[in-house]
Amino acid sequence: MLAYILEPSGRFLLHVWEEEALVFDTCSGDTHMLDPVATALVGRLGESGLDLPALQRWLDETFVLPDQQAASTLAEAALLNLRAIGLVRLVPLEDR
Amino acid sequence: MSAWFRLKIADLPFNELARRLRDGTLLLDLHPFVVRIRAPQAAVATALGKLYAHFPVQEADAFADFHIALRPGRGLRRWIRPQVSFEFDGKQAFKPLPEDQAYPMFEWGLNWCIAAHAHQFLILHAAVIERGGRAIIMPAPPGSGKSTLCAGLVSRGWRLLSDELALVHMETGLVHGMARPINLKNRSIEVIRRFQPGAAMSDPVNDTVKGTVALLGPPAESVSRVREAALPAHIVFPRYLADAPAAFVPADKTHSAMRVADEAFNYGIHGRRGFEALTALIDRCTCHEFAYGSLEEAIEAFEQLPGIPQ
Repeated sequence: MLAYILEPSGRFLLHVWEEEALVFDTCSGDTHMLDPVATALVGRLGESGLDLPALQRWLDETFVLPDQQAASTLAEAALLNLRAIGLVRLVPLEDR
Repeated sequence: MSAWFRLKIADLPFNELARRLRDGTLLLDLHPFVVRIRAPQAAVATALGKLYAHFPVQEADAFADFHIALRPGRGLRRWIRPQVSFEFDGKQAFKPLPEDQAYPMFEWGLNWCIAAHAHQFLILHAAVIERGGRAIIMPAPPGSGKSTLCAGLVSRGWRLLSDELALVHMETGLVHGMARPINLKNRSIEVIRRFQPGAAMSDPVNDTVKGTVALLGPPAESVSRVREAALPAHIVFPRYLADAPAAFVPADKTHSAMRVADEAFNYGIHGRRGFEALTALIDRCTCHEFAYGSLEEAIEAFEQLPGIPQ
């Protein structure tokens, strides 16, 4: 089983405004914008690493979404983007 | 010389101004920078005399941050389709331009000198105006109507900090400006001539890379207060739209931050500090989109911005 965790090295600076955020990667110098779903997931992962179903459940309970499929799609897309910028890592559940 | 008396460009007879420019002994005090200028072209002396009249000059042996020279073309280029080269610290910085573009080239080249070297600031491509110590920063790409709006507001009493370069201090977050002339292009030249008859303006120069350009002199009061930095209060993204009613629309902070970063010359150079300066700037400002189709309406709308003393 795999879990998503936040990159723990202090490589990223995060600044949140309301539901969205800006992330600065101190390694690459790149700045990224996080949409509300990605910002919420980063906030949730700040507490602990979670697997995809748990994150989808949490997203579904937290946000008013049209249907179950939407939570799953939004979470997967956001996590994909967060992994692409390096802010989130996928690790074996027992390693988190 | 008495401590209270500061020699200004306007105090120099034209021949003396032209001599200093020929000899490279004109040191123009553009707080927070001093610029040494060598430029033998009469058109540059005329434009500086007209548009920088209220700016102080320094003694010839004073320290200068930037050493600029506008060199006439060499060889045949002195006589056939004469050219001018922009030199910074003795090195040619750009390809030569036709000689009649010498003065605009000075302005563009000086902008480059500052944007490429003054990293004690986060430097934004933005106009800045101020009232009551509160600054409004207007970042915008070329063609958005930023300079026209800035010129209109300044003609109605707002203090000009800058038309082109907002200098946000990395430590204090205060915004500085040099109150240099306002760059007007193409149709905006005639718009401002009609809006502000009698304003000091350079002769238009045609066929530049930006089209026809002319520069509008800053108000004397803006120049005399150039050392007063201001606290950023609003970020306004202006956009001229023919016939559009003047209206502010709230802009969210995250997108605004990205747009401000896009309009920054040296955000990438500053790394972590740049991000911190950017987010601090956005934190302290209210952000707006602003469309306008009439300068008069635009000025009225700016009077209503919250937190700006009347």
